[in-house]
Amino acid sequence: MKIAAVEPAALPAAGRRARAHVGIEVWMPLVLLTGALGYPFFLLITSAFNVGDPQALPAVEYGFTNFVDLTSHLDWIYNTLLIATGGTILGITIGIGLAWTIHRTTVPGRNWFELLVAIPYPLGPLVGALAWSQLGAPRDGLINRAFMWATGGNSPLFDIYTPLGIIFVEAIFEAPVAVLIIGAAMQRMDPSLEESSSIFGGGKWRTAIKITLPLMLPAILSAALFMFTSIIGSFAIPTILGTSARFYVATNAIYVLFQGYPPNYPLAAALGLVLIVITGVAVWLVQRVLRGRSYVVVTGRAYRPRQVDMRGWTWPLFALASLYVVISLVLPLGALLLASVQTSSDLAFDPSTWTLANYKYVIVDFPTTRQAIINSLILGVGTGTLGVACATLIAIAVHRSKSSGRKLLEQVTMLPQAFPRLIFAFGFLWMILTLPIQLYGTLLAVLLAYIVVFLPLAYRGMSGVVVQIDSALEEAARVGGASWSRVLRTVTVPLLRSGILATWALLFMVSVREISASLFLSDAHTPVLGPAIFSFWDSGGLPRVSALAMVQALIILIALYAVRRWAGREIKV
Amino acid sequence: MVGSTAQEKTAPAAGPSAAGATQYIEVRGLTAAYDDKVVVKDISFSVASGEHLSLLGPSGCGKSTTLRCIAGLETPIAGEIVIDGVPVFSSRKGINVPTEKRKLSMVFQSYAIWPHMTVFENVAYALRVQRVREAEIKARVAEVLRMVGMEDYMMRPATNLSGGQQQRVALARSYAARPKAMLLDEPLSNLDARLRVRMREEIKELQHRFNLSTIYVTHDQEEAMAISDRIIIMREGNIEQAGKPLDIYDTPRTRFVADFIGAANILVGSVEKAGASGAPVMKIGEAAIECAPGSQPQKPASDGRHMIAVRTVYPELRREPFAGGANVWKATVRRRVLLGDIVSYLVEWPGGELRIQSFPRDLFDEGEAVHLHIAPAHVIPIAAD
Amino acid sequence: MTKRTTFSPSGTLSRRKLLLAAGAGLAASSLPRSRALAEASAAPDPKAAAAEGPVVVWHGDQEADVVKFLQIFTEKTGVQTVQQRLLPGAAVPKLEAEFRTGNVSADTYMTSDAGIMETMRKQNRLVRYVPKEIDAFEPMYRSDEPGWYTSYYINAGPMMYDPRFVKEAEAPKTWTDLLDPKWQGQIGFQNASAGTSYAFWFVMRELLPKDFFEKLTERKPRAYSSSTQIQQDIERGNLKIGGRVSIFQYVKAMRAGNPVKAVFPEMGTPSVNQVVGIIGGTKRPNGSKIFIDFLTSREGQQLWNDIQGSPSARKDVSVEHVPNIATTKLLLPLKFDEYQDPKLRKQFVSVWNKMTGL
Repeated sequence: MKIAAVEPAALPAAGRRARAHVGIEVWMPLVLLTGALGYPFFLLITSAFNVGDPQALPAVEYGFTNFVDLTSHLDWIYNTLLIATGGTILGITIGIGLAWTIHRTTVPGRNWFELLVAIPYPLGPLVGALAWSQLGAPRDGLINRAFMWATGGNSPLFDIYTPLGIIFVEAIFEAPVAVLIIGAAMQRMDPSLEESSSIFGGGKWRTAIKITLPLMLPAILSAALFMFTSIIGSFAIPTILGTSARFYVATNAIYVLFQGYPPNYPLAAALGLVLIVITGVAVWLVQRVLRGRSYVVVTGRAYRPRQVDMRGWTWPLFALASLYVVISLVLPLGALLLASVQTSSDLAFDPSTWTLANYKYVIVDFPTTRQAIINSLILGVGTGTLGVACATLIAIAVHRSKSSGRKLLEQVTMLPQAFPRLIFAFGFLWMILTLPIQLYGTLLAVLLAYIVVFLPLAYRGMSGVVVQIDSALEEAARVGGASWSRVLRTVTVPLLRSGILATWALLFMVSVREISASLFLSDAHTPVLGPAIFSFWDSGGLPRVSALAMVQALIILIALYAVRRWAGREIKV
Repeated sequence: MVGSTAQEKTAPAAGPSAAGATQYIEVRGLTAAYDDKVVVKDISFSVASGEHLSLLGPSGCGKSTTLRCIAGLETPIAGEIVIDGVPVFSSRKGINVPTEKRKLSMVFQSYAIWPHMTVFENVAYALRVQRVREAEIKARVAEVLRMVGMEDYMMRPATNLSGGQQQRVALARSYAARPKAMLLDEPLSNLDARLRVRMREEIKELQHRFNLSTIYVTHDQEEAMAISDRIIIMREGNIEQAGKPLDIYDTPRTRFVADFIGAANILVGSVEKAGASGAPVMKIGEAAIECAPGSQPQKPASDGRHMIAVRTVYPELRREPFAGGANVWKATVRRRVLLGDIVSYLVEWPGGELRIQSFPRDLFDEGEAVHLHIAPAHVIPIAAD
Repeated sequence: MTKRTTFSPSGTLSRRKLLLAAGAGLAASSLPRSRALAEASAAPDPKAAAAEGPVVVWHGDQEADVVKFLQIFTEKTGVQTVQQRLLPGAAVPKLEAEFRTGNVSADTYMTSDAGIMETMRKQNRLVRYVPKEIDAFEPMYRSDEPGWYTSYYINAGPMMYDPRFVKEAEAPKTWTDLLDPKWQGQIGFQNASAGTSYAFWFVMRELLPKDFFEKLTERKPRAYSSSTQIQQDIERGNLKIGGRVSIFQYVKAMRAGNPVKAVFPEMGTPSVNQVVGIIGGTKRPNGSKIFIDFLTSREGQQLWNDIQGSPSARKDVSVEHVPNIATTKLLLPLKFDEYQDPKLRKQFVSVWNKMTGL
């Protein structure tokens, strides 16, 4: 659970601290992480207060002008908060509904839904935004065309290029996280808490509202926090759906500020800083609300949640869950697939005109995308492997070491969660440019950035696994005379296997779909998929960008399928 | 039976029918299953008004499922459950009253104290559901909390209470609701041994005060013996034996019950003849032992041999010979283990070895020759498994 | 590279980096002027080019077009290439940063913004190389002192619409027609990062009524990050008028058989010289020169403009479907000194961002 990991640790008493021993397993990662996070952050701050040469790094003249300038762009901040709040509310609602349907009802097909509703998240916002721009464009969006054809009128059903449209797409592609977090909490909840409510006369609704909901609150809030921060930093959806509709949130504004010449770094950095502060306030607020309410997390034990026969509601719930699968998976992939076999951006429905040439073009003929596919696979494997390795070492240091500073290490590890990745990537780029070693323009730079930004995700996965494994098991093996490395090899790692695989797969998928962190870090020698898709969206034409997005989706789907096969059903994304 | 004790002023009105009805809860032909595995097999029993019944058995015997069926938390596949004359479940008539309408109370193994509420809110929950006036809620909650000694914790959040405190709150919550009957599902199993003994005294005390029909599920025979008017011993979904605690103790019907309740010597041998009293005499090793008057040999084991049970506390040892009579032998003390309040002997007698528990007074030494007497009344023929 | 090549206020560079930069190598700009000029016209050595590795081509064009061109270029010359699409706003800061670290990755830059090239020339950040066929370019299509940068196509920017969604009679005929309230929220421009947007503003601010941009702002035009997207939205019926669309979009649409129409108003069509030059500190001078030679040659011009569907600055190159620029009045930014003025640019970014709702 995220919140548990972010929760501030009680600092040890000063006296104890002075004598405390900080082991290498703690200070090494702590120093490295502090550097990798702190230096970009430092450059970002200096840039935000830079009132001299906008391109000086670090700045030479300081002042508040940039923040003053921001006050004439309060709409960016307002819009960011609008979509983050709206997207979170809608996404959480969807998440609660789906988690409830999957874990707590007798609705048919629950196992299938559990599998399917997890997929939109790894598919990612870029695919989502591209697909929904084809589905929900007011004139020629597929859904609107179908609607106008059915009604015979020429007014569209809806327009996706609106704040509401953005909120909608954000919500459906973030909802799987809420399903996962809330679903896990539902499985951890002692069913007798609800049973006792019915025993004492509470009906289904009273039980749901007075007992279940408050007990789920920590999980709901931490899911909400996750979504909120991730929507605040989301780049692809507002850029693709908002920019041409004159709707600017922080991220697409920052992107334009960076792109224009002369680029206004200080204003963008100031805006980025405001975003980080907003995220920080959100984290703080949620932690305040949750203080002393970590009760759901307390029982590590998994229960079999009580399943409620929804009677008359069964089929409406089934229909709603199906609708979610349709709008988050079937329609987007269908729309992309359809567009990817076209010869022009004008969609033809006659299969005889369809072609696979676009796939050949992006996979074989076009060097940039060909290289981008290869690079993204390398990055996926690299981030997965190194991310898991780092996260495992940190998790073991945090949970098994007796060294002081463990809690601090955990907090620092989780810190990148609060940084919008687009902003962080820029600080990271600056850092790499000022480093004496030649990292800039190499895939290694992108890889390092990925590892840092996805470390919270990796740590959360690995820490859950490390905690679950009873140290008694390890000690038992050690008492048997096994050496430390043997214990690691024969006991710890096999026990961690499915958790490692799940985390690895998750990192692989998020790396393949990533765009924010790599947009500024990849270059001519190191194209990667996300920015390549984005660049195609810019100037490549609909059929080709759809084909490339389909390739990305396919890689992710194959990874999902493979990990399900190898690691069994406990794998969740 | 405590059904006749005077009702406390504060005790819930058990309903007008309570006074007259003798069978307050009736379970007939109850059959329940989990995932196609039948865990309760066609059992029937009843609980009298104000009676305290225990369902006792090892884990997996179906006792909790039975209780949950009565509470309505599980749906049986067949049978009938009647509470206070009202059928709440009947597979035949298609009745299944939902839990919240059965007006029962239940204490869970995990206590199920709602962690997001204060102690007061926990206890007041049922009263709020019943739309009791706020002033009355306050009074009633305060009163039950005083009874369980938790009045000082009223406004505390329910988290951070100790196990025993949570248990008390759970009890208070149950009594405050003024239910038709109380169901307790292994309420003490999460407490440490000392607290368990204390809590079971308190539960018994509360039971006396409120005089509610109670079904108490436990796997702990001592607890069941201490607390119940009547015990039903369950095994693999069936009722093995039902009766008052002492009757079950003294006259177990099966080897399972003899083993499960108290400590017994299970002696295996053959039926020789009827003794002078007409009771059977069994040949155990070299010894012929007369069984309880009026008893009959029970179902033999698969090899045709019969079994008898002798409670470890009933055989007598003496240095000087017994004055004649049945079931007297010479014996030798082989082992002596002092357990504090009691002393346990392993005695060699013509029938083989016998375990005897007695008080640490006039201790016999290991190897000492003694005289052994087992009163026929305590030699109980039992059915083999 | 030496201190002089890094254009940044003192104090922003650490001592260490200066030393690092000083040791990093030589650049044309640090050489005596005469030698530099001699080097600028020195013919490239194909053998040396092969040893240098792939030439890094930065550009702001459509990737697919550039790749297609580069493939043929490699076939013809044997020089390998790597390309990256970087709009000026992304390219220039990246270059800045690379110059600071003394490690420049780009070799040639093809850009819509000749002003940026002029700025870079002033900063000694370009390598001068006079292409073999420089004489085929009129003075307005190359840097004042030839060889710094040369036009590789003329990017005229007409208005565009799709007659399926906008009737010809209703369509704007001249620039001020864009102010008609019926186009509220229905005009698309590229955002401020596009060099073509800057050129549009630069030439129009003097020709059109003073309050033109203010009034246009009221029409709430929409910003796109590429002309491809404007063109796509026009064809899809999501946008009625392309306020300024690169001419090759129109040609491409015609080639695809789409009914899009371009409007070249009588008063003139704002256009830019898309220029190419070699970046200072290039590690592949021979390959870069070969590239410049080919791109500006008749063969290269024909090839590139055929692929892209754009007019060449060379009179001896004509491309099918491309409107005759000789009969079209083009409004090109010619006052380079003013054109590259950072202050003016800042003003443009502010006006343009405000206009497009940023």
